[in-house]
Amino acid sequence: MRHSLILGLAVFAIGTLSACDSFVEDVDQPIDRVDSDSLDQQREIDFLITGLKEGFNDAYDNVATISELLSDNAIFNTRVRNSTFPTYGQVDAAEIEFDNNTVDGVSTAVNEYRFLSDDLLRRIENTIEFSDDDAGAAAEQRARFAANYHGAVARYFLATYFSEDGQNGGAPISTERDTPGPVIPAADLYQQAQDKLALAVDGAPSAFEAQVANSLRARIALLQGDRAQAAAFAAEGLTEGDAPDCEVSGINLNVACYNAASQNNWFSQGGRGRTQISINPLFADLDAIDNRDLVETAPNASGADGNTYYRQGLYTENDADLPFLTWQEMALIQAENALLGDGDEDAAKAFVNPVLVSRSALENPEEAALGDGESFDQGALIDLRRRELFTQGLRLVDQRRFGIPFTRITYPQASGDPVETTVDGAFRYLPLTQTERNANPNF
Amino acid sequence: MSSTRTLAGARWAGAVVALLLAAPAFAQTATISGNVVAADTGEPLIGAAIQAVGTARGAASDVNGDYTLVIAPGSYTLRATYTGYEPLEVEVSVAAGETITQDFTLEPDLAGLEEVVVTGALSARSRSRSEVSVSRIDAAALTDVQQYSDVNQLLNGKVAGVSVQPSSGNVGGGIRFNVRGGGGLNGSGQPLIYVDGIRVDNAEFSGFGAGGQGIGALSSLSPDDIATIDVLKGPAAAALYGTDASNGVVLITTKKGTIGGGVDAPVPFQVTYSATTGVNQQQFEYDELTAGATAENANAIFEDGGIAQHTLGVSGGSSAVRYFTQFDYRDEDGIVFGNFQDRRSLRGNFEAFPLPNLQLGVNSAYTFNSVGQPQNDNNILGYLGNTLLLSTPYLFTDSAAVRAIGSEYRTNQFLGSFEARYSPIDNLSLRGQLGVDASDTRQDQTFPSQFVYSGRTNGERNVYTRENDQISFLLDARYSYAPAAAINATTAVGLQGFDRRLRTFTFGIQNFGTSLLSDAGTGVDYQASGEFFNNLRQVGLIAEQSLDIQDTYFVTLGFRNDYASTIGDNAPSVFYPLARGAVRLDRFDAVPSLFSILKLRAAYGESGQLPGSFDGIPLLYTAEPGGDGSGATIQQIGNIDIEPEKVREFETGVDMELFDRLAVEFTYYNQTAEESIFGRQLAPSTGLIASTLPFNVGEIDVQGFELALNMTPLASPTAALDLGVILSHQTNEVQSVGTDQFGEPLPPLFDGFDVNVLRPGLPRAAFYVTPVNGATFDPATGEYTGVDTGVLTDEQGNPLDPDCNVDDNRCYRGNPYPDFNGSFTANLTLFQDFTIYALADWATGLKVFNNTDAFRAQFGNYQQRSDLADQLFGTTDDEGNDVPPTVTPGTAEYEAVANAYARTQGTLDDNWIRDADYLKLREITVRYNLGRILSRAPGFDRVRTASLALSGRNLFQTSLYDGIDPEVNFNGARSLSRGQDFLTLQNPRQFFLTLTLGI
Repeated sequence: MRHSLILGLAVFAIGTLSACDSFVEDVDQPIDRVDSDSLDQQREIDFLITGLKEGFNDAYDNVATISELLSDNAIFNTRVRNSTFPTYGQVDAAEIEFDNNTVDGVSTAVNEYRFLSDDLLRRIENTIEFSDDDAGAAAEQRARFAANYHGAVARYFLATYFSEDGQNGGAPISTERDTPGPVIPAADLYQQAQDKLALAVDGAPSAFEAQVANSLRARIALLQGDRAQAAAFAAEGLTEGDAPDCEVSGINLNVACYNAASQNNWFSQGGRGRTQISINPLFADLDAIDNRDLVETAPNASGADGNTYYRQGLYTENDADLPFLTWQEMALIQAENALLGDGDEDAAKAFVNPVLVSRSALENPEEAALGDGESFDQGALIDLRRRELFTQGLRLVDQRRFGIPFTRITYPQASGDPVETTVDGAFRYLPLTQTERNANPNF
Repeated sequence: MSSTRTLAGARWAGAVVALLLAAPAFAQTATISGNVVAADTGEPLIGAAIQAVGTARGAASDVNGDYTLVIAPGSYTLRATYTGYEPLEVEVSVAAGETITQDFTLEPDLAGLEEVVVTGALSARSRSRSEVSVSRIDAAALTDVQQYSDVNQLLNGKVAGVSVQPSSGNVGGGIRFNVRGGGGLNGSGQPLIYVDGIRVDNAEFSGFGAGGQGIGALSSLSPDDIATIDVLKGPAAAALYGTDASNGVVLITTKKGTIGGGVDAPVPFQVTYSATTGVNQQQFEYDELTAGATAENANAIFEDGGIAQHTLGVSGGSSAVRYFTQFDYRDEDGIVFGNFQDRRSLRGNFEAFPLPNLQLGVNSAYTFNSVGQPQNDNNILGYLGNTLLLSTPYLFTDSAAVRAIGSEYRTNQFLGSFEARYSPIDNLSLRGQLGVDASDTRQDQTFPSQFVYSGRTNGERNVYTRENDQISFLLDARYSYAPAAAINATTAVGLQGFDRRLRTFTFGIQNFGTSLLSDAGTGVDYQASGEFFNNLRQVGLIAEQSLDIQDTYFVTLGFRNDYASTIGDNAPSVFYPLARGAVRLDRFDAVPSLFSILKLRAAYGESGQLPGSFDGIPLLYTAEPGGDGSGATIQQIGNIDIEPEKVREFETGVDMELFDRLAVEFTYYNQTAEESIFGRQLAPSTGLIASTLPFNVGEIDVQGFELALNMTPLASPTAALDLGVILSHQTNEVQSVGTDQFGEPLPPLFDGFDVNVLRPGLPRAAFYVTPVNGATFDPATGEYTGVDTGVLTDEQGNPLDPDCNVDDNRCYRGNPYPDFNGSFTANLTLFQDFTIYALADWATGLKVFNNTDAFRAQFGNYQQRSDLADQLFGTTDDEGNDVPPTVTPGTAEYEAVANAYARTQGTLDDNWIRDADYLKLREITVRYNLGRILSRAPGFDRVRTASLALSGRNLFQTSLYDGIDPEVNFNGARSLSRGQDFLTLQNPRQFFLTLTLGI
């Protein structure tokens, strides 16, 4: 009996040893996530491209809202109901702590977007085998264009909105997890973007996609200080009628698209969803001459105090589209080159007038066009860009380009008119975050 | 037909009654009977257990202390045990048909050293023989005296080296364990928890947030169901529980049936009913210092919350079957509207002894637990956020809207286990145990459409469901033998496994046409939904060899080899060894007789923490739905090289009992955690920031000591006084946070608020911030210009403050774990029936980040800063007249005010790290035992027990903390964020009145 028992136990123990591995490995698989490698298939290309576009949507409304706040277009006003996060106040004052978690949010969105674009390129070149037929070629073309185009946009965001010292643009791009890279100066990032856009244009699946890529080339060239090159690209860019509309343009490259789940940040952080970001009351005047509703009244936190506060009025639904590149901007780029590069005011007006007409609130919009006797100078150009490109994150760029003072609007303790003051801080870009500085030994 | 059914039913009922009442008839039986009395009082001990060692046969003494044990003829070692008394063993022989008498007189066991406690997955022995420190809480005795809302309250202050606190004052909220400082570096620090052998869900979880707090899975467990809690505090004790046990193991045993009956009417069951009424109250009032201009509004959010509890238990049985059943109902309201817990549980525990060598047991409990959570913490919808931050209340969200938010978790949980013990031959014991913890939770969160909520259009409805099913099993065999004279050996082998399936679902929708309907189907704007599923399996092979030499030397060696579905490629299985030894010095003649027990012990063990289920997969994608469709995005970043964390612990100590009046337990321990798993936030420039990267980040050393004193300075039939002191000290130092692929040290790890850090040379979760030195001044005018921050250095560039680091530009400002903590207990019994019990606990060397005040300063409701600003810059009076500054630039007074002003700037973390040492009068009870009086009264002669108790909790606090409650944490119980008070609800003060009646 005893021997049998001990033998039985020994057999049981040996059997158990061999069964342990299979017991723990025989588990049901997750349903909400998939191994990255399993996406290395041609049939997943459109899933990956859509993900890239969603990454753009997320990154763009982040940079657009926060950079407008850093500029003199938008303000942080705690008198507006639910305008609460001090982190927004730091951005408005250009006095930004490195651990500002609002800036962290922007950084996260942009950097993840950059990764997705570069990762798609890696898959195309290393891991995905495209079929030899037309479908395979088309899929590869779509994927390459998306990877190059979005890779360029991401680099444009990094160069334009981030800085180590708050004064000079640039950001790191780290290709290794454990060895983060050093800051790449904005000029180099812009050049990387231009190189990618050139590839994108060369391999664009359609003329429209090439136009969009050229439009971004134009904007970047302008930021690189080459107005002539910018104008040349703009001429190959979007043209009147290329409306940034998620429903119309199909591939939506020139517009960020949202739904109730993803939500346009202008709605959720600077609009009816929640108003952390208010708008300079100056836009109430611009609203009067523009056929768009640029602003609307923002709810006062403490009831009537004698002031009227504003928030943007362009995106009143959570799924409102956010334009990224427009034909109007291309016209203004060409106008700028004509005016400030070539010194040809009439040529500049020729570019500007369709823009003025397109936005005119006049009963007869054509009356908004500048006549022969009307002047158009740098100030007018800057003002027009401010109105036309409102909410698109470009006012900050123009303030830097044209040396426009950084100011903010504050309100006196009791009732009274808003006061425009010079910002306290020296940040002209969003800082590279403490999260980056903590994890990146290059700082 | 109906009569047939009735007859069949009657037969079944009769059979059940017979099973319950009748002792089984054996072909050949003998009878042992006798009486059990207490040596100190001479009173009979009711419910003492008499066990024939090595068999499954036993009996319990009745109200007169008498017992009867029917058993097969033979020779036995009879062991009599009774809680609070030392066990006594005697040898007896009884022949077929014979009846012998064996009486027992038990000596009091002051420190509980003779109680048999669980010392490992395969072992249980008395603490007087244990080679490791095991703490036992006699929960049944505690709940007899004091009311406890949940397990957290039951444990807190009772065990040296273990602190258990709620992360907020929410009723039914999460529990934060701190066992010897938390084991490894890994964030949660939570021990494994077993209930009657079932590994239970110890998670804190939250669906749709109500700020920072979650729901504690343990809140479903009724403290009144619990008999004992054994705590194995570290790997030295818990090694054979294997992976996940590095933070210790909490073993909860629920009450079991005993034989007993009413006075003069012996029946094989007992009925106990207790009723409690009580109240939760605001413990700390806000004032101008803690709430600025809105103190009155902040105080107005609090209201008294009623507590009602009814517990009805029936237990009893025969020598063949025992049972314990209890229904418990608790309805408790918190101190702010919307916080409540409504818990109903039904427990049935059964034991059967069908054969002398076979014992079967079933433990089961069904609980319905409903918890309502108010909005608070980092949250503009919260009560405290709306009444503390701004100088005008409810600017973020209207007060009626805050109050109207509904957030309720409903949990149905079944805990059940089956256990069989079988001895096929002498000295061989086989055990099989299978248990299940199955719980379904649903959260409904509703924002009514008639109110305005930021980010919500015309109301919102959120639904979260969580199904957690976990099965645990244990098979083991123990063989005891005597390899040589005076040496007893036990060899044990076992297999312990665990299978957990967790599934969650979320759904959110907005835009309702009416607040009368909250059905999610009536909303218009779908927001989001998501599902999660995870299946985790673990299994461990266990072996243990123990030797007992002359009942003086005790040695145990063992190991466990663990397999798990989450272990990475580099470690397909993990080996955890164990070695222990103890020697009873009191057995030697050289030791003075004043030591009734003097034992030295030492133990070494290893345990660990598993990586997360998906941690070993380099990169996981999911789909992000948005305006362009559903596209690929990163879900989780993994690490193919991940390995389980390993924690090694050595502990040594001494247990002694002197003069039968003083018991001392002292333990020193040293833990080293290596390859700790921590979520590293990669540099955003990598783009891999959807999650943290699980990483084996290095090493931490933890050491400390624990001291427990129990003394009985007074023991007489008319008065008895028991005193207890617990003292724990713990230090830890992060040795390394790992190196990169080139061997370069990796940078420190910070929590989300960039305040707590894991950095070599500092304690875990240390506060590590950029220092504030004071104000800066215009050199020309002497006027305040800003705040001077950064590490100050000498001419050689070395920091002036040795706690600062120039490269990091930060300074160490203490840590959120106390250096020392402990408790005092006193239990005074007068005239046998009148008892006063009190517990006070304290902590020193504790820091808290007062983020509430930091944000109040930023939002302009920090009166101290406003006053300083008035002195520096002037102000305007109520009539609008300018009031000039009261200090003049360039003067010492101006500089002092300016420096103080700089130290109130809200955005600088260094300004808000506070000393938070505290002393609390935690529990106090006055109880009167009515049993003897009632039993003499006409009509109450069947009363077995009766008592009336008045209890209080959190009655008094003195603290260095300038905030409200130093024990709370805004980010729940399980994050790297520790010791951060951010609009977190204070713990309530509680009062109870409890009436207990038993027949």
